Amino acid sequence: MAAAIDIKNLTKQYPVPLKREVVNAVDNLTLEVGEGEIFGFLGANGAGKTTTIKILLGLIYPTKGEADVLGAPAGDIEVKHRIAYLPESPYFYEHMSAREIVAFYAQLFGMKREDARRKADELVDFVGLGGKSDVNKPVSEFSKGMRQRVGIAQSLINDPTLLFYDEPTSGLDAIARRDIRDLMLELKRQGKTMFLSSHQLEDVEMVCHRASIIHKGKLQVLGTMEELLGGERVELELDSVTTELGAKLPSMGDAVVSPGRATLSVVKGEVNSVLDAVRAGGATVVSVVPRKRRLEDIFVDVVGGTIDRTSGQLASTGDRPVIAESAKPARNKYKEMSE
Amino acid sequence: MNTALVIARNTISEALRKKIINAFFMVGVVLIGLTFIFNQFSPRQELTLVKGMGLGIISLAGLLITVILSINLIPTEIERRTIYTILAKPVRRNEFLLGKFLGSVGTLTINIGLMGVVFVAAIAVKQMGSDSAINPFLLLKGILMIFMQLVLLSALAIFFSTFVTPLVNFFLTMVVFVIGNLSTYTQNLAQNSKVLPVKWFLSALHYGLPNFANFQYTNPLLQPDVQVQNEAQFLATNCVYAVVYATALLFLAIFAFDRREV
Repeated sequence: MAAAIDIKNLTKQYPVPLKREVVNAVDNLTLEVGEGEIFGFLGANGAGKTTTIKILLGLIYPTKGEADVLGAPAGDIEVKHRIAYLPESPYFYEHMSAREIVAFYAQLFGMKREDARRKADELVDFVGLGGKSDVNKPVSEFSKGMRQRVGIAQSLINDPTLLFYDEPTSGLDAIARRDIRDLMLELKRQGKTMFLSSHQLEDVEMVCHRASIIHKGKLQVLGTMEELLGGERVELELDSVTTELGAKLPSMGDAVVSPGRATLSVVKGEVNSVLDAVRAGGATVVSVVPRKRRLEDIFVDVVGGTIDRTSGQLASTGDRPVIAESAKPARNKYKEMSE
Repeated sequence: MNTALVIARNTISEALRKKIINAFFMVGVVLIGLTFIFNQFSPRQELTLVKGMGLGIISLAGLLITVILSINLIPTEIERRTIYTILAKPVRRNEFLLGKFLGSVGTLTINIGLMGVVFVAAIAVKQMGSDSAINPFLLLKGILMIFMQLVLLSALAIFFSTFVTPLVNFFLTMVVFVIGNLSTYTQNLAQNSKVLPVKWFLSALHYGLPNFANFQYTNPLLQPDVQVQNEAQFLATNCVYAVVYATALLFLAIFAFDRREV
């Protein structure tokens, strides 16, 4: 069985105006997303996320490389019957109500007008816009969260196998964000494949099986959430630290030493041996607090430049946990996990 | 085809809500009504004037509606990003473009049709009690020619809109419309020119650009002594010309739009 998304050496170049130069919006990207997988596609603004999604949807064309979606070249019209797209800040025909918009998109799948209206009623209810006050209101009067719900409703018309969601929670308040995240978790439970581009890293941590980070069009980090967030660390707060012990602490972990006191961050598996060593050195252990790594830490490392990107290869910073490149996704592994 | 019709229906529904389109339409209707103020002429002169002004107003209002609507159909979809969700669905680019064109034609049908109804009704009222009254429905032939001219113009504007900005498109469409209306002059100039490159250039303009002058049918309607030989053939030929030329322009537009990144 083919991967849901198979990208090989994908490059998209744009000419720089008034110069004989090109800029790489996407640079030699190779990526595979398995069926039933929720895949986080992260990067700073302008990193090449939306460009990649647009190529996968056939809205723009690659300069080099290949991109297959559900076993067919990107943009294939038959495949579009099985995919869905929620653009960043979706825009709709302002004069139409949520129901009319969803019915319009449903007719683009070949549904008859009556069937399209029925489907629209069902989906508008599903995304929580079926209330009397909302259902006939023109979209021009909708809040951003409500528009996002309309976007999600239109993305579910064809019961898609694969969903492309571009920043589905950007700019939303906490309640709307939680609701949309819950909807994504529901889609995950249903075994859908999702290619999720987001700046909301907490959402990605909660929803995704795997995540990648691209920077300036190049893939920098790729791994399962376990690989990326694994290697938990423990933070020790120490008192009565002697000068001799203070000098040894940096060899045990990330240490911040001040006269008589120190904070030491160590890998979880080494915590007992480190505790023995600091006690033997005469220090008092004030607290032991587990610290889980966050996607945000990795993101900041990549985008902020801590991780060595000079070769374009994935790399670690030495004393930090290695960011693993996971193998290609096992076929249907994620479907099984969801079920 | 079904997809194109869904897009066309949506385009019409949106276009009929556009204030500027409605403004041109309303101005057209009001001006047709205002032709009643001419009462200082003889009844025959007055009728000729009303017919001439009415057709002229429909033509001008139709021209503005067509150009403003057609030059913006594709760019607006791209600018506000509604095109993304449409082309991410199983919609071919040619279906999208055809839907937009049919939507434009549908909007024109409604606008020109309504102005035509008002115009014919105005003429019927004007002729009440007159001994030399003409059948006001004969004027529909003139309105049909205006409509076919605007259908062709719409296809031209949509073709340009696949590769130029709306502002450039506006000027291009208007220039081609004006030159196309001066077809007889470009032909004469080409025939009489002694400088070969100029002759070629003018001939290219004459044969390459749509001949909008073909659709001028006001004189036979205003002057009883001006007759068109084989009128049915004249009207049918012009309709076929508009359809064939518009189809060719749409094929070129599809060719350009298929390669365009949105």
